[in-house]
Amino acid sequence: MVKADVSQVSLPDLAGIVDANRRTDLVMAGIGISVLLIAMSLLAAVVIDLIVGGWPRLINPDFYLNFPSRHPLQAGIVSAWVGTILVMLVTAGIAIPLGVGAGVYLEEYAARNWITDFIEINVSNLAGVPSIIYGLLALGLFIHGFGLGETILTAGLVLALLILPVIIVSTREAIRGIPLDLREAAYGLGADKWQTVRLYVLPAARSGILTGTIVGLARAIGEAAPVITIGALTFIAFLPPSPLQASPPFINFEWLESPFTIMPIQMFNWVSRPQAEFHINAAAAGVILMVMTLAMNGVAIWLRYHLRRQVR
Amino acid sequence: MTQKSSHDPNVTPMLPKASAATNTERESLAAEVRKLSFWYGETQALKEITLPIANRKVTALIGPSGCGKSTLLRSFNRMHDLYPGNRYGGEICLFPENHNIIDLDPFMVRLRIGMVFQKPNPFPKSIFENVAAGLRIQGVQNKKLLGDRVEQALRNAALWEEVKDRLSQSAYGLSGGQQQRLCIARALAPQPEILLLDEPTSALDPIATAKVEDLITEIRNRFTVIIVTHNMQQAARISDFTAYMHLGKLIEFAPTGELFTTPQEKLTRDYITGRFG
Repeated sequence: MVKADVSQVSLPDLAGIVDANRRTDLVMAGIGISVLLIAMSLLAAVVIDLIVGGWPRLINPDFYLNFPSRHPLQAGIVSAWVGTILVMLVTAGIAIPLGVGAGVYLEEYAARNWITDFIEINVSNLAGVPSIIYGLLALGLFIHGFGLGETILTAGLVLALLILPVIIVSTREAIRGIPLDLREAAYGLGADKWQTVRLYVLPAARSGILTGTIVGLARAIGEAAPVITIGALTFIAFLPPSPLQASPPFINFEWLESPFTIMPIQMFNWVSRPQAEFHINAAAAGVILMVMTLAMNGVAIWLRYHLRRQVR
Repeated sequence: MTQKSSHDPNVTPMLPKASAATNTERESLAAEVRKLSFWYGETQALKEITLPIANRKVTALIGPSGCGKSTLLRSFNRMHDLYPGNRYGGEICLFPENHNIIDLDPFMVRLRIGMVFQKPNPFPKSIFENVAAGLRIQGVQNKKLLGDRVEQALRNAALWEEVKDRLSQSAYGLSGGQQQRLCIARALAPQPEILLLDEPTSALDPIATAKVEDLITEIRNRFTVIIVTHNMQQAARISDFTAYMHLGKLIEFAPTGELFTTPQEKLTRDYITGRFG
């Protein structure tokens, strides 16, 4: 008797609750989709605007192979994209080992005391420092202090500094995400700390580390402010010496000391010209810069997928 | 109620001898815990435990949750040293040298004492590399030796027939039960003096559990095994000696048959008859 009462009373109530929940779900999904649509359409508008604006130059092979020029129709981006790639090489070569090393140290080795806390807080804060401050630091330290000049090396260094916090933080997150039982398994076999980190923790964390690294590099590739601050050229009609050569030792590092320009600076330079023809070039350069960033993210996704499949 | 006759230090050396008559030529004890206490920060988890570990026998640690049996087990290979704030008192003597494990270098201890954990935790590597891991950590390079020891360990863990054709495949492709036997093989490959098993079957289904129990029975005369288990039937089935712990104290220690049939302490009796725990 009592049971029957309960079912009669509660069944309609349950249905009502389920319906209400479902309505809430629908409303939330609707809000989510519209927010997403707004963001996506803004992004699409920018991209389409750039592509349409830069189309005449984008389809012209000379654009990719010519140096800048005062004639808009002959101006190209060869020195800019080569410069960007070389600067990124330096940035990655410095920021990845330093950042991963610092992340591993802070997460695995550093004693838990106030000094470590202080370093941690500062690393997190560094990620929020405006990029132009890094430019000023580089101008004072690398150029006037160390006399490195307005070179690819200096630009690579400043961008490496800029993204170092991102790489450190993401390395730490990735390492922290490795389950404790994996470490205990390694320690249980008598592994020391470095063996555990090198053989088991880092390989398991590498996809996370890689993601953070690429996010950092993708930020660096679009930065203009710090590189302008250190005095990168805006008009350059020659390429740095090639890193590869036909005669032994086949590689050289003269390019590190070469003057350079990079894509965002080239774009900024064209945007600030009064002639409308240059704005076409700027739009086209913007598209190429975005393609470079997307390609880098694509490589990251591919690598992550590949590594994860290897691990599982 | 804490100290009682069956694990009195004066009596313990006799214990293994009595039941290990067939192995009289071997040392009778692999290790002996002497007045071991342990603190997690301010909390005392073990209170003056004294316990002999018979050589090449299976010793089971049983007791309700929180009784300290896993804490005791993890003291044998100094696993507590990985985390700050932990403190030991007393001794765990490792024979034949009679060295105190608490004073030895923990990395050295772990090279001599293997461990298998509650959840299977293979490395994200191939089956072969998982079993070879301990040897690689010890710096073994010789391919022939590695291959031989891996095969031997996998045979010991009753896994060889199942995996011999897929040694280069990922260990994550194995079932949970196979993964746990792989972890046992990984712990056996460096030929440890003592093998610690921390509830090795609690995450496994009954069939996988039976296989792990079979393999423990299989290796019991070649390795010294200490096993923590929640499952009293399991302790009764596979162990030679059983220690019952309660609230960080050792209540009773006896040959398994005796402890389950004629427990001397009321707490032990209550636990094994299922009155609590």
